Amino acid sequence: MEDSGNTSDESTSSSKRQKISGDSGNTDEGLDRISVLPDSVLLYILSLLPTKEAIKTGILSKRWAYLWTSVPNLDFSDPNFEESEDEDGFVNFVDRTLILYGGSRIKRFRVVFEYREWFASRVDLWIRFAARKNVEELILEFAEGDNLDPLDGDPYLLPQHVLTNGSVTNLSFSFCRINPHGSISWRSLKSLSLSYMPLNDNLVHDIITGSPSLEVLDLYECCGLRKLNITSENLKKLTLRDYYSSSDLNSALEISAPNIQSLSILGILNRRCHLMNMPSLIDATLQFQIMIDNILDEYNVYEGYHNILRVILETLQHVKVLRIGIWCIQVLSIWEMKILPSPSSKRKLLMLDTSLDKWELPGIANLLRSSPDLEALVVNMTASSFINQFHFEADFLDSYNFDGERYWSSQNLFLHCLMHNLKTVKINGFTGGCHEIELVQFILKNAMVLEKMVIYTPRYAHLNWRKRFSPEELLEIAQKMLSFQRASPRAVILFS
Amino acid sequence: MASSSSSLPSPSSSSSSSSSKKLVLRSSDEKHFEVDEAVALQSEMIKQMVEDGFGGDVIPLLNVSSNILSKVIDYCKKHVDFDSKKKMDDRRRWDAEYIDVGVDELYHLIMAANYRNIKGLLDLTCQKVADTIKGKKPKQIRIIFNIKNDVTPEGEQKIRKEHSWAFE
Repeated sequence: MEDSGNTSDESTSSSKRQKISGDSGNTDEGLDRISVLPDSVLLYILSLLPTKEAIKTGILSKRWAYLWTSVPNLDFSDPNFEESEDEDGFVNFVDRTLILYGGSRIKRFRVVFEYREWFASRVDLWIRFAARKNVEELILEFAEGDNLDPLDGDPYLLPQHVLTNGSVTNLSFSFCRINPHGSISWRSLKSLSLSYMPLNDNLVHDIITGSPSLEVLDLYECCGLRKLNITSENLKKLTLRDYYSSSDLNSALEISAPNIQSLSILGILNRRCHLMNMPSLIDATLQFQIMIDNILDEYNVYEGYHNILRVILETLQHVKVLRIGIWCIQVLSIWEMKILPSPSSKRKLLMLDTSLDKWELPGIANLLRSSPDLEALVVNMTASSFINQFHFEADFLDSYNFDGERYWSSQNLFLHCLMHNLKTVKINGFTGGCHEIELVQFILKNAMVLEKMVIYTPRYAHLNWRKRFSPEELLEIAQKMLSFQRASPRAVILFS
Repeated sequence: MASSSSSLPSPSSSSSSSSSKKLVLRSSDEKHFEVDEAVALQSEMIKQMVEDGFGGDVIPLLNVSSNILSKVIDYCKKHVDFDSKKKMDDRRRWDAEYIDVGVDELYHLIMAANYRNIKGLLDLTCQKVADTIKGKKPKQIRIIFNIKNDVTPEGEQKIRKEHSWAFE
């Protein structure tokens, strides 16, 4: 038995054992506990590992030798995905593993690697294998990195049998193609994610019609889509992330979805986005940035972007929960600086992903003004960066300049929600900056019915733009804020 | 996004422990634990027993010792609370601290969670084992879990060869 050898490596590891299993009054030490767990539990543990790691447990002992061959989840992800030096090795590995696999059912089958068209016939076999084992979750991530143009290269063509599979519940495809000869039928499908896929309106329509149980649809960087019309009764959650298509730049992306309850629009879009007919919507997340190359031809840039956002917000007036990101907040700042009216909303919860930078403050004031019924406000402190910011031109900044240090105290803001409805405020990732403290002071001074303000300080030291407080600093800031005037006698402030 | 609506103030949703129904659990070493029904029902097995009419008596848990049972009850209590408040961040932090235990205790918790059918606790404990295995060499895994290597060197060589890619 090799473990009895007294190498130096061994002794450090056994001191580790002391630490991991060191339990006071422990009489069982030294027993092999894990290996006596029932097969079902060990298989469950192995199913939580990438298949490569699960296979490695095969040499632990005879007990483990063939366990992995029945693991219900197969997860092949190429660790060298970025460098992609040994794709043949990876493909051979998957082939061999499937030959040795002895399980009767596969629950989850996931393959992540840099697909090349000469692998098509082998990938076809893997998927045939998984389908024969009644796979429920099929995840094929064949795209390389984030900046792939979906029209470059040849995406993997999904076999026809996949398109009429009745047992799949979750499908996630990236850099694949769907070219149905006949109808699509996914009658058990609950969740579908498509990324870097060439799509068109008819295909998406056929997919949705063929998936009557579909509840969640995610579309990431799917070009070719113009009109998305979702009438399915079960589809409740739609996410759209990144839309970059070089053709037909003047056409807008139109989304109509009378039954969806949750909508997220994320990432970078290079065209207008029209939302229509969403009466059932409860929550919406707007963390996007629109970049239209030729917007100057039609409008003044500022007016152009703010019109786009205004139309979106008008469609979302009835939404109860709104989460909104830096770019949108900054566009709303333009709105506020130009003293343009904002559509009033029914929202009760507003979540801001903001850096509380000077040019976001008027946008926040604008959102608060247009939310008379607001009961809860959540501020998620977020770093602003090139990809989530609006790019103001210097002459705009000059002509609309203002005192950002004392924005809240210098504005005579009468906000209905502060006087009547706002009960809870949460600040996540509080760093103690002057803009944060000023906002806290303003809210405490004006929120007449506030019940609770909760301030969370960052827990993660590795996010270096955030500051981690020493207990003394935290105490000092806390004392300062506790001394602020409070309009609501019931308001409590909690630090965490 | 849906969970975010929990940030809205909710009326005291946590179960008030004094008024709710109690169940009595008996550990293998004959200690009795009185717990709220909602806490005990985190276990699918106990739920089944209550539904079958065993709720009024003492529920014997033949192969769970009192120290493990009290730890399991801790978990269930806390998670009844978490379920009512939906605080994902707090839950994750609490779970991470809770599961920072030795291999023996981990084993007993897995056995209890598996036998009692407490899904959340089974997920948490099995994930802990998986995380411990992940990225380690077989030799290290054997040491951590006291696994006796009974594979012959030839047998091991054969497996390594069969799966050379996995062992790179």
